[in-house]
Amino acid sequence: MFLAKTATNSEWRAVASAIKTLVEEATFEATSENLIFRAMDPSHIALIDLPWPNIAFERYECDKPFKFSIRVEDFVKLIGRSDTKDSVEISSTEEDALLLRLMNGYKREFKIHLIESTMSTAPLPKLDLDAKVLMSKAVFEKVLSDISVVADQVSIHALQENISFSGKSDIGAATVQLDKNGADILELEVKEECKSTYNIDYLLGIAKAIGSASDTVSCEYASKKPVLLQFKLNEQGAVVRYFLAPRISE
Amino acid sequence: MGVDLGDVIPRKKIKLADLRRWRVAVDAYNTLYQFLAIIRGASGEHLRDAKGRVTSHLSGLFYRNVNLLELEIKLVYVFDGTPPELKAREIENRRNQRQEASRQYQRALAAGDLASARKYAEASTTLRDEMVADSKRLLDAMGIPSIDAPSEGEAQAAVMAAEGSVDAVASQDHDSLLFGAPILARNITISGKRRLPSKNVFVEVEPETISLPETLKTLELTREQLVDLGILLGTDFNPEGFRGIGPVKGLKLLKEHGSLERINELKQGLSQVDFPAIREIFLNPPVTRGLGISWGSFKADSVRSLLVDEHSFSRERVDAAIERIEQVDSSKSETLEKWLG
Repeated sequence: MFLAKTATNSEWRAVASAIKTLVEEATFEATSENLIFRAMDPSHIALIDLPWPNIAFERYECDKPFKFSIRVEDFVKLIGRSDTKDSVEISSTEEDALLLRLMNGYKREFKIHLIESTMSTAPLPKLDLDAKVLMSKAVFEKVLSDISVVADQVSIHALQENISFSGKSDIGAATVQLDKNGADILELEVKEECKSTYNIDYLLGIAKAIGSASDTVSCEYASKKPVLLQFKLNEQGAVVRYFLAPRISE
Repeated sequence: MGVDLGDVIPRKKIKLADLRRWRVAVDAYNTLYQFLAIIRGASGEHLRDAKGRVTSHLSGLFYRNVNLLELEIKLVYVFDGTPPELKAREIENRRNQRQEASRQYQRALAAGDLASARKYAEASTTLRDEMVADSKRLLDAMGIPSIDAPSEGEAQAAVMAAEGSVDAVASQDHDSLLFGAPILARNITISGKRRLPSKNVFVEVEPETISLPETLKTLELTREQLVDLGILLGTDFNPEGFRGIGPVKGLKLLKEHGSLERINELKQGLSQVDFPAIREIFLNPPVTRGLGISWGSFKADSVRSLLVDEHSFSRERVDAAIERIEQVDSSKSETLEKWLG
């Protein structure tokens, strides 16, 4: 028997939309300790790692390891039916299906059929990253949107005292610089100056998918290495970790 | 011409862009024949270069692949090796059909009947050794690897997909599913407006994907039973199939009885088909496992010299296509692969 319940719908909403940016079929693995989702997009450019510890749920039960795959589009639609104040409970059933209960005064119950998936769990990237910035997610989205006016990739340049985002194309160029002591930067730790380039659509896509479920984003990277974005979904350790490979050209 | 599972299997209409950055193994002969059949002048004649050599296949390979490369789709073409002995009859049939069509083509042309000429021209397509060699040269110049399968190209491609070296197999018929390809992509190299064979009408051909796990789930069959269904409908190894059995009837019979040998009403027909051997071809085909695929770079000069200098392609059109590829190349993304533990 597997059952996982959250007090509100925001975590599931963010998780479902985040996965939707990446794959069409999602495989979750539940153990007594946690619920895990991990997958790469078909082009192997981005990877989502979602470790969701049992204490991050209002209620969590899993007596034996349970692996289930669902069609992401269906899942997003179902979760989309939930209201902000609904508690969301997901559980296994006797037959190959997943039961979704939305509760807030009255109870709504949906059943979706599981699918067979050939997807195997992706390994985690091993990374040693040099710069880490923690900032408000709204600012992060705004900065990327600014750069996206002229370019489809963003170069991130981190120094001890500031971090700048820039992009250029045939149209022109854009740069946004944020200072360590400014109000928009919550933390900036730079072991070594670094500069790397990433696809804006991917970064912006995941940030928007997370929506209001997280106020901040932590962004870690190093020169010519992938970037790791982390969105904290609650205080008990539910977090969406998003890895994105760098662009080759500088 | 391969198994046609018809409308009973779940298909998903896609846009080519949905395959962005996928790795796709292409059934080379299947695709080259499509090009030769489709890429024709008004009276059904092939495109030819200044020396009179057929270039329809090169034109198809170049312009269609450019569309796919532009989406950063990584292609690998898989060519047939020695066909299984059981295929002899099908090969003989095809040869006879082509010869007959070729005679009809000449007759229609002489009589000035262009519509018929076109129809027969499409059916008389043959692929000669030097055409295959040129195709491989062009693929190499485009940075697309070619692989020679020990036997059926489709089987090799399917195993590469099952092993995870590629994400999908591109072919027109459904045999790839029987060979175990997790995802079959159809109409990938020929999407867009296309003239229906032997009719002078154009239809919009849309790309689609068919997932093997989903197919098996929908049909409630195992892969072994899917192979049996293919045999009922007719494969390259028993081209006639079984009289009066289409996808719906075949599916019903298999669900009722479980496997071919348990279908009593077909006992007579089954005794004349070496179905255990056909099953073996689909379930354990001779293939090379664990092939490493290395993708090359697009060599514009080699492409130009092959197409423009050797085969009389329009320099302007070729250059315009090359330009599209070069723009993509300038802003490539790495994959996460090299950081994965």
